[in-house]
Amino acid sequence: MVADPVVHVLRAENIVRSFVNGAGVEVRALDGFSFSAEGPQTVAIVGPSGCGKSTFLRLVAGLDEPQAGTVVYDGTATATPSPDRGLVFQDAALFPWLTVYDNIAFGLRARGAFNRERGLVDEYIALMGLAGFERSYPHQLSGGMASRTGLARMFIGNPGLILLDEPLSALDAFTRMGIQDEIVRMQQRERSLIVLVTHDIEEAVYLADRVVIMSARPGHVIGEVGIDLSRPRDRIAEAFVAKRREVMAVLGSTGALGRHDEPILSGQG
Amino acid sequence: MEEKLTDGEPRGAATAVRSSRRAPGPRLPQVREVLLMLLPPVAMVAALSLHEALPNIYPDDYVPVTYAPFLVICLAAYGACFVVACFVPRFRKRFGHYSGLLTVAFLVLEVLDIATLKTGYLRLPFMPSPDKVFYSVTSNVPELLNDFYSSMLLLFTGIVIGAVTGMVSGVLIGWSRICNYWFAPFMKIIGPVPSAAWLPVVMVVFPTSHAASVFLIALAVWFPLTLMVSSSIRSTDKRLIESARVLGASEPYVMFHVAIPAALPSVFTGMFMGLSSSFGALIVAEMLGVKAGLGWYITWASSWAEFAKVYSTVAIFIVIFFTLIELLFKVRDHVMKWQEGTVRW
Ligand SMILES: Nc1ncnc2c1ncn2[C@@H]1O[C@H](COP(=O)(O)OP(=O)(O)OP(=O)(O)O)[C@@H](O)[C@H]1O
Ligand SMILES: [Mg+2]
Repeated sequence: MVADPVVHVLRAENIVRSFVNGAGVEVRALDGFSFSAEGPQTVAIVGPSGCGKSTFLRLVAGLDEPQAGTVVYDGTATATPSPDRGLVFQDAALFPWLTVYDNIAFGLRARGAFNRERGLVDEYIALMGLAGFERSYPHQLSGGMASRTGLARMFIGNPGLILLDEPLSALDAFTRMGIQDEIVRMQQRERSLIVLVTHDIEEAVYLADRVVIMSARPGHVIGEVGIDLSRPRDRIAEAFVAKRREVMAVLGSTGALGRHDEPILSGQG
Repeated sequence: MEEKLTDGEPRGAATAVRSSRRAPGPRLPQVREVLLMLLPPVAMVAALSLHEALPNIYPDDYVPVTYAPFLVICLAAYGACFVVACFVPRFRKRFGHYSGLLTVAFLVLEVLDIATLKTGYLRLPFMPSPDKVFYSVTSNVPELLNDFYSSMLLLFTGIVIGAVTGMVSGVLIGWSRICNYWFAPFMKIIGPVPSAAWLPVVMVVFPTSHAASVFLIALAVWFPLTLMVSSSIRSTDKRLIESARVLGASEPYVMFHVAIPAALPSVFTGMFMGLSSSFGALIVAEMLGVKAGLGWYITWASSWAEFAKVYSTVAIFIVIFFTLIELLFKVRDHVMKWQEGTVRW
């Protein structure tokens, strides 16, 4: 495959984002958070619950603005959403009144590109293994199908930067592994930059080229593990397990594991 | 009869088991179904024969005209439906469903006939016999049609204006902060005032009583629709809106393709509420404002103590309102197919 001439660059510097919670107390979600990623690659972010991972993705997507610091993608600040920065939420957030087909076509229609590119819809339906479900409504889908539909709806816009916020965490292990391979395939096909937030260390090590580890709130980066394993990766290979152990060691050093047990449990399997 | 019913049941169940194994095709009715469907005509025949057999006592020398033909027509219509039901299982299911209700309805008619015309137990002018009530319709068809037309014209003009303005203002108040600030208080103050209270004001403000009546009906639809739509749009699932924006949708596109579809269930709730209160507004408008229409006819008839006309016109109203509500249900079920299975009504 020919390398993409465009190398996408995401740079976040010293981001501060705080919220006022229900009790009127200020909560610092992110404090001096810096992050950068470039090129066609996958970067996973792991960290304790509530450390500001979703907040960061929303900033990058342009759905929110930092109180201090900058988020720059390909040379421009990410103040507003753009179809070049795709985002998928945990439970796909499909439009319940649209069929799978219309959900996937939503972005094309919204950008007025449907007539020109309608062939893409069928292409992505086939790519994501959704053939035969075009006319189903979201409530008629299994969790895995819904998740595939959400991914297809985002992939079809061919965004240079893909933000995934625990996209597979609601799925069972088998479905999850299937869709993980799907994501790897799509990433290699589209040559995009993926930022993946996950609680599943195995998923992070399986998908990512780099795993970035965050501290508990207020969140900042405390470590990074490069995953230079060749693909397809073998989940039970010695080197793979070693990487998982490495990530967990960094996480554990924050004391995060005490309060946040999901990574250990799901990572042990 | 009782015996046959219980006797028919196990046999019916056995047929059901057998027929479910057979290849699909028009399933013949079971004994129990047929017996159930035969109950209403039995009640009709009973009503008819009692009516013919017993002498007419009250009031003196009253000659019934319409009641017997009405029963005969009902019987004939029922017979036709029955034949269709025997061969079309889908229709049979829905048709048979109403057997019990129909039977009771005809029994009630029968009791009324006996209590009035046949014994004079219930007295005029407040309790006319069924025949007199039916006759007040058949003897008066042109005038009723005329009033029907004028009522419906009024009602539909009002509903259409109310629905359109209600949708627009609901979407605006729900979507735009500025509109919400300026118009939501206005809506909350104007909306809950009942139509009857408006009457004196609108009679003065509007040039014609027709315009005033249209306004009252439109207002009755507008308020619940605006309220439901605006609050539902304001509470649209944030992630759906954000997903749409991330997919490249502009603000207007999000409004038309996310916020409004998401608010559709509330649009229908609002329309149901608005339709119900528009009926009240129609009656108020016609009783006090316009000099035409079914509502006006009711006032006029009751001032002459013609209660047969009052009751028959009220019945006509009930049929109209029932039909409109049912129609809206049908439209909703069609539009909201995507919700099937996610909610129970
Ligand atoms: N809109 C908001 N209003 C108030 N507080 C918020 C808001 N969004 C996030 N927060 C707070 O900011 C903190 C970080 O939230 P965020 O959703 O980014 O965490 P997270 O790392 O994604 O957690 P999880 O792994 O559980 O999804 C939390 O303490 C949360 O309560
Ligand atoms: Mg989160």
